[in-house]
Amino acid sequence: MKFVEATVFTTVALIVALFAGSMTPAHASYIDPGTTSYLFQMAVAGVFGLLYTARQIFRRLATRRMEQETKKTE
Amino acid sequence: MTPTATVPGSFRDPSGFMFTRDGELYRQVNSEYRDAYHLCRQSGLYDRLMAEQLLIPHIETAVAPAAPDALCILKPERLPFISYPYEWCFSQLKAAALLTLQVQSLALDHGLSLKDASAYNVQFRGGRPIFIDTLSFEPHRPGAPWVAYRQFCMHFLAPLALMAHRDARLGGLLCRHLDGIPLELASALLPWRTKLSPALGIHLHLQAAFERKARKPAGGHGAGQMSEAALRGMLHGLEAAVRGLTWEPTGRWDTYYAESLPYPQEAFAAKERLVAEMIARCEPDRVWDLGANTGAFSRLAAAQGAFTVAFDYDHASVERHYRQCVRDGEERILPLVLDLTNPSPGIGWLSRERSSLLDRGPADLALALALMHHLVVGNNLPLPALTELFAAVSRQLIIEFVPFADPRVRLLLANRRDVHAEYTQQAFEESFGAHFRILAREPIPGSCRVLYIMQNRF
Repeated sequence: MKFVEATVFTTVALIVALFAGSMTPAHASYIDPGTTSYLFQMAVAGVFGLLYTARQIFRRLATRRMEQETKKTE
Repeated sequence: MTPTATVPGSFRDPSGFMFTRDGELYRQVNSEYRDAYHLCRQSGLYDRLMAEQLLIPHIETAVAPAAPDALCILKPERLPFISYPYEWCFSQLKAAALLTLQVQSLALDHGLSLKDASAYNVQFRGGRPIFIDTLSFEPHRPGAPWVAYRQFCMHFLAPLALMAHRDARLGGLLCRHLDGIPLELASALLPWRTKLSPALGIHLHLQAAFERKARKPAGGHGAGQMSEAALRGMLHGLEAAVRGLTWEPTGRWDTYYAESLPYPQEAFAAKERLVAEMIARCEPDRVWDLGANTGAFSRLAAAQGAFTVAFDYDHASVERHYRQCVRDGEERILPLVLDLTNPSPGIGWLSRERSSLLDRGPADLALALALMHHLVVGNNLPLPALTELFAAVSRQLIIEFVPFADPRVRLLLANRRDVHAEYTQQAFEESFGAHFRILAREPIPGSCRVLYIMQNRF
């Protein structure tokens, strides 16, 4: 899981860095920090969603497997 | 009836504010907050948070509003001492961060979301962090990101990362930066290797870079959607990031009592007995243990039922003390980081938003044990200056006089020649006698030290 996370992180970091790099820093002092935060969350939302969904699926599979093993033991 | 006074730290939120009247603390909820307040109640969020002891308990009262446009007046439970994030050790800030994420997760479960994630919304009650801002919730708009995400990173993740990866004393930066440590500052101060950490890389470094370069687009806050999975995933990622940050205390003072006592074991046992007797004689409700180290004497006060704030300037000692309190389930001690020679000032708007240490006193009783010689020799403080400090912070005082003849003082003096010459027991009694009535003096057997109980004259 660590490897997957790191891979996804690196990919997204590159994409976002490129995305951010293409923006013009003009009038930066007048940008509402809240807006920047919204934009940033949108930009990285895919990673968070992907990791969360993967984790949920992994947990569901693990739970199902445990249930099956419990049934077999009984 | 005494006049109504608004609490200086709660004026920014249009949803409501805190005020005091007749010695009681109240929170006015403004009409503007009507929908969110009803949703908090009807969704069961308040009940759940209070049942799990995550939110400060409150009751609705019928007292008169302090300002027009009031929806209702709440009376929250009053805490014995308000502490601030720049006074917390690493584990306290970490516990506060995890609490904030837990509250946000529960809020989402009930269709609400935290509209701010300030570390000042958390206090310590009964040894555990607790959320105190009842009006921090707003209805969650499906698809909206977390409005307080950036603030969480600045108030919690950035200082914790700096403390874990650079130096625990960097938590003190929160005193300089009232709304959290700027992300670009945290990013610049953190070691380069932290850019390779997925959590810190995204939430701190990448966000800091994004802030530097982003430009406001058309559409503002309404633009884009964030799925529920993405939002939950982000919260999960933040929690993992916070949990992943660790710091092991290593300092000069945190093993002070464990490694070598400044006097024979018998003398220490005698001192413990004398101090316990003196505390019992003072019958305090609230004690400040100044220079508490890892809390050997704070525990004596707490054992007698006093709520005890245990201050020390050494971060490692406070960290060890807090961990021990958590292990022991100790509810009456609050360890805090404080440099007595430079105590927390009043900061924020008009220097009143966060109170100074002196404004949060005085304590019923202050303990100043094995402390004076460090202030006199280590910090060149003359006796009248010390008298002034202790008179400002305490109604009663238990203080240990450590003379020049003491072996520890001789060590301190080994390379010093510029200390105040009038540091004698007679001069000490004369100086403190101007502000205090000396109720008792007890020599500590097996040492040349003397314990005093004093009563503030004013």
